[in-house]
Amino acid sequence: MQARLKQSFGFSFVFHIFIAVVFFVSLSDSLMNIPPASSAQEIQDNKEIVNAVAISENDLSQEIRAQQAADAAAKAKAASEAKQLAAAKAQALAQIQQAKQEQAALALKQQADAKKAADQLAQLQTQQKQAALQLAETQAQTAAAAKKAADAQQKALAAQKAADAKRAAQQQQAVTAQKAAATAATNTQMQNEINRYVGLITQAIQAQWTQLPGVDQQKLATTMLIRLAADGTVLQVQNVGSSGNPALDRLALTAVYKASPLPVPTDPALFASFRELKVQFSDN
Amino acid sequence: MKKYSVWTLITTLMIFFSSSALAALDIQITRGVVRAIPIAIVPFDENNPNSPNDISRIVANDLSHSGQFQVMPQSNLPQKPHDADAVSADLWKTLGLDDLVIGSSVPTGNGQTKVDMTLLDLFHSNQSTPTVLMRQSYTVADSQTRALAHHISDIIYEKLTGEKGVFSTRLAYVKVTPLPNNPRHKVYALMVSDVDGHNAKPLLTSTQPIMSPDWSPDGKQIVYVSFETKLPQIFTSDVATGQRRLISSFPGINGAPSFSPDGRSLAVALSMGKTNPNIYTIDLGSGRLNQLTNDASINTEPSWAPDGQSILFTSDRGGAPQIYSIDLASKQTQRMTYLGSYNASATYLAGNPTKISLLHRDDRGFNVAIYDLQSGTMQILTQGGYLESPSPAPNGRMIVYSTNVGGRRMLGMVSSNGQVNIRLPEVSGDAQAPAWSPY
Repeated sequence: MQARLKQSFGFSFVFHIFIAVVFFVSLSDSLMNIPPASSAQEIQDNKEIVNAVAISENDLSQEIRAQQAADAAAKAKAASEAKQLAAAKAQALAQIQQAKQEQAALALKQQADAKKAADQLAQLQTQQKQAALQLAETQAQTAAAAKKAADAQQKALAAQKAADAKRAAQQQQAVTAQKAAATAATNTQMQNEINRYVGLITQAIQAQWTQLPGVDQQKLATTMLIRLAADGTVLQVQNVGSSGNPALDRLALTAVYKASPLPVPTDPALFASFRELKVQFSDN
Repeated sequence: MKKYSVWTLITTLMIFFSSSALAALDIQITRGVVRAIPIAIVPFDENNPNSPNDISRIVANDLSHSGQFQVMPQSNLPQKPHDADAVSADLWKTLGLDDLVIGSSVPTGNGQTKVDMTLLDLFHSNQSTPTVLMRQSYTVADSQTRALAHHISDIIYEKLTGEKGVFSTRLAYVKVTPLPNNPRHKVYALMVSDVDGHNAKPLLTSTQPIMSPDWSPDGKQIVYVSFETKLPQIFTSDVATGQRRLISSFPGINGAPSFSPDGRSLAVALSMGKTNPNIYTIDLGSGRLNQLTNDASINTEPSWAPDGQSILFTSDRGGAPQIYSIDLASKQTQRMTYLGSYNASATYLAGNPTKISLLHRDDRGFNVAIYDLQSGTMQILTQGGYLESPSPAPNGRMIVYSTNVGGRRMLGMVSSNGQVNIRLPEVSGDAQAPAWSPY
C-alpha cells in the first residue's frame, strides 16, 4: 500500500516536472517569436523617430501613451495568452491523461478482448479437439466393433477348420495306427527273423574263428565287410578295419570264408538286409 | 564339363558306398575258439619220405611243437602235390585245413639241394584255387637243409601268427654221461643244439661239473660255472671259436651268471668266503664288482629285467625260496611272489613285462609256471613234478626245462599256455640246465 503510494507520488512529481518543462519551452518560444516583430517595428519606429525629429511633443506624449497602452495591452494579452496557454496546457494534460486512460482502457479492453478471443479460440479448439476425439472414439469404436465382428467370424471359421482338421487327423490317426500296428507286427516279425539269423551267422563265424593259444588278441579289432550271395555264400570279404596285425586279420578272413555259406533267410525281403554284413571281430 | 561329370561320378559313388556301408547289418564276433591253426605239410621229397632230414618233416615238427599249429599227419594226406596249380582248394578245405605247405627238395648233385616252398591259403577267397601267401626258392649245401627247414618254419610261423618264430634259435644245456670205462665217474659237456634238440655239439667237456649256462644277448657267448679246478668259477666261451675267458673266481660260491640285456655286465651270486651267496654285478669291461644284496640268507639265480634297470633273484630271506626284485639304482628290494612255499628260477617272459616264468612247487611237486605280476595269478604249465631250470624262448611262447623221466634227466618244452608239452629227442645220459638262446 505504501509502496503504491510512493509510486504514484513519484509519478506525479515527475509528471509536474514534465509539465513545467513543457510550459517553459512554449513560453520561451512565444517570447522569442515576438521580439523580431517588435524590432522591425522598432527599426521602423526608429526610422520614423529619425524621421520624426521634427515631431511635436504632443505627438511624442501621444506616442508614449499609445506605447504604454500597447504595452499594457500586450501585457494583458500575454497574461491572457499565458492563461489560455495554461488552460490549454491543463486541457492538453487532461486530454493526455484522458487519452492515456483511454489508451489504458483500450489496452485493457484489447487485452480483455484478446483474452476473450483466445479463450474463445481455446474453447473452440477444445471443442474441436473434443469433437475430434469423439469422432476418433466413435471411429475406433466402430473399427473395434468391426474387428471384433471379423475376429469372431474368423475364430468361428478357425474353430470350424480345427474341428474339421481334428476330425480328419483322428480319422487319419486311426488309419495310421491300424497301419502302424500292422507294420509293427510285420516289422517285429521281420526284426525277430533278422535277429535270429544274425545270431546264427554270429555262431557260424565264431565257430570258425581261431584264436591262437597264448596270443594276446585283446585290444585287437578287425572289421570285415562281407557280400553274400542269396544262398549265403560269401562272395567277397573286404577288410575295412585292420587290427594292425596281418596274421590276425587273416584269421578273421579265414573264419568268414570257412563259415561260408552262412545261414541266411530265404525270403528275398528279409535277405535284402543280409546282402552286406559288417562283421567286427574283437576279443574281450 | 568332363571334369564335372567325373566329380559327379566320384561323389555319387562315394555316397553310394558310404550309404551301402551304413546299410550293412552289424555282426559282432567277440569270441572264437582257442585252437591251433590246422595246416598240412606235404612231403617235399617223396623219394625219401622217412628221412629225418626231410624238410617237410622238420617243418611239421617245428610247427606242431610251437603249440600254434595242428599239423595233419602225413599218413592222412589225400594227395601229395608239389605244384600249386595242382592243388584243389575245395578238397583240402573239406579236411578242415586252413593252410597248406607244398614244395620240393631236389639234390643238384654237387652236394647241394634246391628247395622250393609255397604256402597256400585255402580260405583267402571264395575261389576253388588256393591263394599263394608265400613262395620261396633256395639252394643250400646238404648239411644246411635242417637249418633251412627251421628257417622255413620261422617264415611260415611269422606269416600265419604274426609273431617271430624261434625255430632257428638254439639251446645250450649240460649233458652228463658216465665215463665208459668208469661208470662211477661222469663226463660233463656244455652242449649247443638246434631248438628241436638236433644238431647237438659240445662246446666244452669236463670231468668236473658244469652248471648254469646263459647266453649273451647277441648269441655269441655262453657264460657258465665250471668246477674244473674243483672250485666253482665263472667262464665265458665263444660259441663259434670255443675261446674261453675266466670271469669270476672269488672265494666260495661263484654261481648263477646272467648276462645283462646290453651284454656289458653279468649278474652273479657270490659268497665271498661266507656260507651264503649275495647278488653282485660284474662289469665285463673293467671287472668292477657291485654288490646288490647284503644279508645272511641265500640270494641266487639273478635274472635281468628287459630294461636292465632291475634284477629278479631267488632268496630264502622269508624262510622259503621266493622271487624278489632289486632295483639297481636304489637297491630297493621287493618281494614278487607269495603263492606257494617255493618259487625259484624266475625269468621275464619276452614281449610281456608283467609275466615271469618260474619253477613253482605245490602238492604236485616242482612244475614250470607263469606268474602274472600284475594280476598275481600263477598258471602252472606242467604236471611232471620233477622239473628244473625253466628257460623261456625269445618270443615268450615256449619254455624249455629239464625233467626227470625214469631216473634220467631229459629236456622238454611247454607252450606258454600249457597246451603243448613235448619232450626233446633222447640224449645219452642226462640233459639238464637248458638255456634258450636269443634270436
